[in-house]
Amino acid sequence: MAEIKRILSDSRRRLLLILLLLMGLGGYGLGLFGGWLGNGTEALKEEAAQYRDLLKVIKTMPLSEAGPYLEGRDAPAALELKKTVEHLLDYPDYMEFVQQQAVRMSQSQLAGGNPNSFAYRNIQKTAADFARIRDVEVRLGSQKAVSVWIMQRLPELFSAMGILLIVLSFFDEKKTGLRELIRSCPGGRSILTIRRLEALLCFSALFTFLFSALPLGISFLVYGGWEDLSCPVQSIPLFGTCLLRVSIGGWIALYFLVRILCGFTLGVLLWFILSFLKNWQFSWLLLALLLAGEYMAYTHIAPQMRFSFLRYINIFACIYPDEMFRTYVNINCFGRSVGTLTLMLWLMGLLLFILGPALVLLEGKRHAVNARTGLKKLLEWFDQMLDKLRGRLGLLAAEGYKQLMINGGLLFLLAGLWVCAQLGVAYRSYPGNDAERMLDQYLESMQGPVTEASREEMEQIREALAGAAGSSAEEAFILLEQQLQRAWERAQAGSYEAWLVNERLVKTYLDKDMSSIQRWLSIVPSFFILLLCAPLFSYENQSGTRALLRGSVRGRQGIFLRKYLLGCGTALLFLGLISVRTYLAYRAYLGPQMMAVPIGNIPLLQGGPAGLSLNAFYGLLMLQRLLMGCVLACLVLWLSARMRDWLSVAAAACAILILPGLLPFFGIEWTASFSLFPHISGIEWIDNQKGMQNVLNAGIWLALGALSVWDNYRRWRKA
Amino acid sequence: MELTIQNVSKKYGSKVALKDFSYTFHEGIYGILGANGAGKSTLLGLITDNIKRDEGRILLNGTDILQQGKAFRRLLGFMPQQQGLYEGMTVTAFLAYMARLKEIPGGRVCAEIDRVLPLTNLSDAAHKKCYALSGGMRQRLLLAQALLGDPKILILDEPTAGLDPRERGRLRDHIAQLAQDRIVLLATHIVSDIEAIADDVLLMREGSLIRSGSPSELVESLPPGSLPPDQRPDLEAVYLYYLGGDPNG
Repeated sequence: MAEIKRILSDSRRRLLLILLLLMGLGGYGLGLFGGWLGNGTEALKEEAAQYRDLLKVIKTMPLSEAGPYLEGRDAPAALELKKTVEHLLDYPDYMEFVQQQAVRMSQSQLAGGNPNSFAYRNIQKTAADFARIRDVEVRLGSQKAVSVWIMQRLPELFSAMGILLIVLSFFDEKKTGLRELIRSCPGGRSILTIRRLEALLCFSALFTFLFSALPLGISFLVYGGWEDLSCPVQSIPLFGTCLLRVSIGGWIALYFLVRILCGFTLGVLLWFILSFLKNWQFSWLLLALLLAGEYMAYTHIAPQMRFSFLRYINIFACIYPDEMFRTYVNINCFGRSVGTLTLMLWLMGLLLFILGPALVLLEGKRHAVNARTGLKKLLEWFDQMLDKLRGRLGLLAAEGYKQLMINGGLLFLLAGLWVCAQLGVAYRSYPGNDAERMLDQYLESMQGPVTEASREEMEQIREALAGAAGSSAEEAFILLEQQLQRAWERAQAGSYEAWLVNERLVKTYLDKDMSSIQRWLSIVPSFFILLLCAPLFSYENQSGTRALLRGSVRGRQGIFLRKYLLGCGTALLFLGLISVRTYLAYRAYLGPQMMAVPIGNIPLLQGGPAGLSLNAFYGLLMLQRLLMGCVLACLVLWLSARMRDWLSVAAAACAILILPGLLPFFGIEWTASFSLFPHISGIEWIDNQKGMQNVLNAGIWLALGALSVWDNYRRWRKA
Repeated sequence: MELTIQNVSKKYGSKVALKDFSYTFHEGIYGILGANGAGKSTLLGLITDNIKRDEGRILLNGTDILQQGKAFRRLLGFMPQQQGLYEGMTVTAFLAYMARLKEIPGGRVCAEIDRVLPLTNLSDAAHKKCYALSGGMRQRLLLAQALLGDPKILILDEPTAGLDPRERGRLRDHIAQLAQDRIVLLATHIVSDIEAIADDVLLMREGSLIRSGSPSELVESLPPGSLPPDQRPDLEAVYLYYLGGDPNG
């Protein structure tokens, strides 16, 4: 209990745990609402009500009649219930099929020839396993709550992060220099380790409740289904191949137990690995590499591949243990066929049996001050080599080295670049009907400047369409004609070249949905920008080196300038990447020649300078985004100069700068007016139609950015 | 070279840290002696412009150091009292970084590091991380960075804190060698640090300069009969007479 109290006594840790919980539950909620809390609540209520109503009806009829009853209904709830009914109807046949398949396969030349082969054993085992659940009587019930809960994976990830946070708390005394003191106390060695193992188990149980049970409770509140917990778990389509003869309720209880064990095992494993490493930067790097490798194995190795055991004997299999219950896979274990669930449970037990006592022994016996180990010598040699390079770094490079290596920003930089390279920058719009499809075809050949040739082409189409009155081709032609006329009139009035443009495609990049995507594309890189900028000044405050720097020639203006160069450079890198990706996607979507269209031809942009090409317009948007990104960096640096550690800076910056931009995703729209993100995304200016108010708001942010630089400079220079 | 402090005062709220302080430093070693809170670090902070002065002027060769700005700091080597270091950097990386801040050209950085490391007996720790250094090593590293670029004005705030007697002796010898053509200000409350090497000693109490002069002059200034029978007339006796307290920390 004392150890749990100690862990929770750190206010920063408490804050982080609360943040993790909020993010986990928030992400879960967003998943339920389909990404939009505002409209999503209504949609979800409607969908849940539909699901309950339909289920109530089909429960009263024989299963064989439920299928035809649901046929022809397009609502997602009906489709889902249809799938469930099909699964329930097919289940006995499927069980029979597995048995027959086993007999057939064992007699085939391929696998049945050698009873000692893995293939033969696997077939026999599959048949035997499925024979155990052959007589399970699957029933129709309200199972959506469990299905939805199982498919949402975000809370489990945050739960694992919570475990990591608890494990890191076991190393507090190393950082605070209290290790020797604690180890000299009678209960400061093995007993303390046992207490910590207990605390880890308690936290694993707590996180299971918070990150697993709570979301399940929310699901049950939305979709109902308490009364159907007694149905066999195989009644849920996702659990068709689950081999346990348990009810849904029984499975949930068992799953929570396994989750607690998995969280505990994960914690013990991370603790064991980290306890060997004295160098924190190296530990983080190693941990990141290990997790990246495990994740790659987990996501890229298919069950039938040769090294499929790497997918199941994996940290992420501990984070998402539900898959072991749902997916029936046997692994070749020294020629024997072993189920993944059995294998995982055995390995977990073995790991705990070995690592638990090993940790108690190691922590009890290991000295607080270690002799030079081989690893330490290797690291020293590595440092010696690197010092040759570090000695040659210029001031900007040295500041960059502090940012990326000393403060561990390299991990954020790589993660940020990877995430920004993965984000979807656009969505595609498809023609809604035949007329729009035809219009697209006409425009594909005709789009561009309106010339005499365009008119001649129009005449040719008109002639070709003679006798096709009322067809979608004619409808498309009328639309084309109207568009041509509008373009011509606008150009006459506005003195710029008239172009025929596929307005539907252009609109895709300027409408509300795109504005929402671009907001997201501004928030995500901004998060990484603030993580990278947070330590730039706060690290000096933390290290207590300001007097030293101020006493040197370039320790005032020189360093200040370089810190801002790095901060703004970070912003330019991330937002530049997003801008370039968006531009390239837009260019590929519209075609390179269409990027020269004067924006007066685009209905949504008619308020702007009409003669400006779309290329130039996009260039200006990009400039605005980069400029506002620099404002963001400046504001984070302002916060950084006032705090002593980067985590506080990051938390404050998230609350002040990121949150107002994020809340509109949850339906709280008014916060957007106080957010920097409409100005970083740029496209939102077109969508929100606020005209000069946008310019004024952007001006205020620019002034704030400039003021923050001035204030920081004054403060940095001030004695 | 002449560093002149003219009527400088500094207050922290209502607390007077330095009161109308005036003195002129020439080439040589100056020991600034005083108990904790006497105003030694404030004086050094004012000279390095880490602390804003309320009144008075500090002139180098007749020009205010605030006007000289970078030109003054090019002559300055400063070792602060706080052991603030970048914990994740190695000794060499830290010195290279400080060398860059001191405008030492890239080609000379390694040579400068190679020069100061043996002077401060840190050659063996050159590639150690700062967090792995002992208190004494950290102190020597701070001294090493102050010596980078061979500064003409060396300001050392409690340089011997945390050093063992042998290291203290080494440091004293080294400072004595440095004093040929530069101003060395050495603030301490440990008399033995400066007794043998200081050309002049400044005695400070409650932000004021009580007395100054060479160690022998100060000893001579003691009134006859002011010492207990078993006390030798030395700088320690001067400290006890003028400032009171324990002269050896």
